[in-house]
Amino acid sequence: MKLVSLLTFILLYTPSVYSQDELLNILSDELDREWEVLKQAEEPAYYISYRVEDQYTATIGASLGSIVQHNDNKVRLGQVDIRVGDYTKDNTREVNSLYGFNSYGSYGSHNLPIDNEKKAIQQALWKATHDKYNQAVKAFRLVDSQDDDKKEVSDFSKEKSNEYFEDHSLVVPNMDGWDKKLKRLSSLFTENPYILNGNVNISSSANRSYLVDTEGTKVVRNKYRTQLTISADIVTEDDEVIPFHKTYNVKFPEDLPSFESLTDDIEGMMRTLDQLRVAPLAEPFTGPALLHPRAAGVFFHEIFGHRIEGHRLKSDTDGQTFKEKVGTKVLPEFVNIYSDPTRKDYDGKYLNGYYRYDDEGIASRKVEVVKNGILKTFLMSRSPLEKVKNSNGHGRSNIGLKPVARQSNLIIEANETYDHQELRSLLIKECEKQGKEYGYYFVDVEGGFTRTDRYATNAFNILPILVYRIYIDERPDELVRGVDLIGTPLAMFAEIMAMSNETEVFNGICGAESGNVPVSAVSPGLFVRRIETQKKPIEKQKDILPILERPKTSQTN
Amino acid sequence: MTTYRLIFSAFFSLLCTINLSAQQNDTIMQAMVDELERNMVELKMEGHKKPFYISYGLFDGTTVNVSASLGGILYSASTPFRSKNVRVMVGDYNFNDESLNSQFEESFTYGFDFWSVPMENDYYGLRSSLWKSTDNIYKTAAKLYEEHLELLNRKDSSAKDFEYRKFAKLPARELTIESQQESVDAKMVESLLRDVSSKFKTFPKITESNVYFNQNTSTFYFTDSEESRVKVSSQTNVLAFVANRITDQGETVAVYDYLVSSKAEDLFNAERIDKTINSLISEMEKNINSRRFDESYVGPVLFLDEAVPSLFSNILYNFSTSDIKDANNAYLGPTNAKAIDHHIGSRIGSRSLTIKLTPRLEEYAGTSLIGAYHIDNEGVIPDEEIILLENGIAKNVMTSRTLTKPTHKPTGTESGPGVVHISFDGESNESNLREQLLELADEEGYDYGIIVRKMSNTNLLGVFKLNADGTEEYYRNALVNGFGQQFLRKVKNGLKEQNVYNIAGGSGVTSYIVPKGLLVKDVNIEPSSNQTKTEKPLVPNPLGFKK
Repeated sequence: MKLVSLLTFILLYTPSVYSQDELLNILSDELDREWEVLKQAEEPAYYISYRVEDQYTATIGASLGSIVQHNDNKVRLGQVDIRVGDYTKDNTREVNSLYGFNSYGSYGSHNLPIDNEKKAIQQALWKATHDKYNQAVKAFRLVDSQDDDKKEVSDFSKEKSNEYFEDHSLVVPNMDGWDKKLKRLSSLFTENPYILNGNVNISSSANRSYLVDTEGTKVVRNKYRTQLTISADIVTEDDEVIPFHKTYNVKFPEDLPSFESLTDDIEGMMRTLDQLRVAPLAEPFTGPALLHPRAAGVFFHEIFGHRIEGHRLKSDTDGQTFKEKVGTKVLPEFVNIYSDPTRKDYDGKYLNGYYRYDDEGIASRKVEVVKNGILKTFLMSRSPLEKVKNSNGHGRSNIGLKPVARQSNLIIEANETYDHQELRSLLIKECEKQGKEYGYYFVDVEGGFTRTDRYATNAFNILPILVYRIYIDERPDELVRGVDLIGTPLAMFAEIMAMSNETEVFNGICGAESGNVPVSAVSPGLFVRRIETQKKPIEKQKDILPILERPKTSQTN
Repeated sequence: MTTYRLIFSAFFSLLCTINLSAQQNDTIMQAMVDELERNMVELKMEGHKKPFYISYGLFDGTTVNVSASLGGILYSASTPFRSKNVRVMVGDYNFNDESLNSQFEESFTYGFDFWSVPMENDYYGLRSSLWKSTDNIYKTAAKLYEEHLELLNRKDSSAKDFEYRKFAKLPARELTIESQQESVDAKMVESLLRDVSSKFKTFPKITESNVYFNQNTSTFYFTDSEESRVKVSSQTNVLAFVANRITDQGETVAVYDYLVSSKAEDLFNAERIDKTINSLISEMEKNINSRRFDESYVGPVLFLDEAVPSLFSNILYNFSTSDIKDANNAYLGPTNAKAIDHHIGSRIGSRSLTIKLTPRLEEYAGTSLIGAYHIDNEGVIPDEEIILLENGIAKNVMTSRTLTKPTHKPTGTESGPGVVHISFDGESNESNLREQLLELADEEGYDYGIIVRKMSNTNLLGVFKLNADGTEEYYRNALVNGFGQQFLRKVKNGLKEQNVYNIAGGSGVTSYIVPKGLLVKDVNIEPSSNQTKTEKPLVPNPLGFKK
């Protein structure tokens, strides 16, 4: 059945012969033509790359039983990178100027013809290369005019060039039938008069990505991603609007859970919303807590993962939490962490952060970051550090932005584990020790954010959507609302006491300076000796519940 | 008949078979009417008044955007859209929630419609969307009305300077104009644009060229508690051309032009397209071979051809109603005493100049007026003719249903001026204007006068210096300064003969019937400073490149 649907939706079927990819040939030809001249210019370029993405995106959105969005979009975007100077010092170096920082980092992208019309593509690339070369020359003059103390650190690593070519067939997402499914799923929310919004959206993309450079790299990849999001808002009796959502990340729409399973999830979500509607508001708290594996995944992504992204440690504006800590203990000794973009799944569960080559054309690889609590290395793009000179295949960005070191599949494992009941017992014991009536259990989160720069508090904020109090006595667990989990990284790492034997995958999209990239965090559950919470911002609107009854849902639903 | 048109016709006949049934279309109106009636009867918040007026406007349409360069498609999309305007008013026609400016904390959400409209003709879905918007806007309106009443009670409403807005009461409007126009097939337009954009391949010095097609097909549905029922279809099509070239001095010279029509097939006329592209290339060459305008000029200018409607597009907004005085509102500031609205009946322009709007006029002298419309966004049918300026005397301003003066009455121009008809009782011969230009220039101490034939949206232009011997010299990169209603007084002379233009702008298309030329005194023209220079490309343009 699956095989049939795949064959049906093959857009272009040509033999996977490298030389038969017309666009690749056009890019290579124009790159050669430019390189011949610019490498011999008065201020010569030492590196040029062309990155192009064919992006096909289909989106359908339904709200409370009606289709409100249905878009298909196809674009071809191009990005030119030119480096003037040499590998040790070039135009991309961050320096101060009269007008602020050297702004070469804003690469920019431009539309290219979707058709493989050679002259049209060549002219667009030629114009972009001309503009980019002029910017690079100006930026390099500024870099060169300044003394700087980072001269022992190169600006661009020397790497082996790669050739990789994926089949030229791009599978266009099969969205057939999803409009009906979304209508029916979103109409379930109309059963509850306190639910203001109930939306179900699906977005599926197929991207063919090209990278050619003057070092000989030719990497052509196909990337697919599908995301289904269910979101709803409910109004409490005190006019607070509580949002709740659930997201599914898979490769193709047909990989999503069945309609019946999604229906069950929405019904479960509505039950949770009903409970949240009457749940008490929590006060700020400090004390012991359990983090469900999904919440723990986000926790590690935010407070640890962003601090091992190599390029940050090069910046004088960054907090550089771990810069000088390689070889030292940064986490409890039972903790191991690695980043592995080569993995497509974990225990059969889809991983969002898989890729074969990064956006600088470097082969992805597994990187052991923490072994027995000891920091081993960082995630690296082609921006070297004093002690880590080469990329390990983590240079990632959206097209139009400069690739920097980003997370992929961050996997946390423990040498010794406990089952959930044992963790609960540890929590209760710790509560008693600290004289607390209860501890917190963070079951689900919608995401989080962190700051790593040194101009603001180097803190993190995890955004839970499902939080329970676990009482030390016989009282049942109590659902609460309005809680955010906050803290500072080093203090928090010291409080991790134990990990569970259950592991879960959190798939998401991470937004940072190089754009939104798909990532995963795989983690066991955590027992943390002391966490801190603050009150969540409240969205309150007076008289928000409609005066009149909602008109019926469409009978077709 | 050209090849383009033949291809187009074939696709069009296919498209015409795709037609929504009447029943489906009625679903939208039925949902609007039913939900409006329910809300008028039942909607009431405790302690507040019911709404006295509700209107629903809904645009249902498709936008087709295709762009191409040198035979390759850059972007292509056919995007259906639906948007709605919901107005809920509390109080009465004389005094209501819109009558005064408010300090009410939630008023920022007032009228802002964040509830999506279903893309399908889903009766209950449409009603739900209207229901939520109505509820949201009503609650704010009801609270605002209470606040306004309180303000009214605090102020001395009999005071001479007490001003507030009234809402014009209108009889029910019934209007149905359903055209057979369907959206074009984007694939077909792609094929045409590949051909059209390929024409630039024969100009190897051009550094960038793009051809854009935009089609907007929509049906406007409107109903209100005055029992109006409106359903009007319309379509506009624009084919635009942009080209630029980097000169040997590193200066980028850009040129553009566009064609507008109510029928897409009219645009794809090979002869017309060739003419437009050739004219663009000539204009580019003319610019490249010309000198930069580098002086400050204040003197007479003869606006000819396309420059005339561009001139008035900058001036026309002055014929709008002025708002109420509100000394307490720092954001609005005091009412502009110079506004034309305060000088109705007075002379504000040249005695020979007349400006009127004919928004419903669809054709003039054999040319389609694409800006014409039959009903505005407030559901008001405009008069056949709205005289703004007659022989230099201010007669009227474009007025919405919100009235700020007792003399106001809605003109049905909330969707824009539509069709602007400007006439000047002047010369029948252009050479007379040229002579007068030189005479006036001489009086100002110039040995040349200036002629402007085309202006961009940014008022950037190339100008012609008219020398005493009748010869013309072209200069690029000039800028006209200081448009405003004072221009109306400065019009010294004009041509009786008229041209017709359809000008596409940010708010749609406006049609102009204008004199072929107008001579205006005391115009300030300066060199433009917004020209950036770049280095000359080291690598040759691939268009002309041969290995």
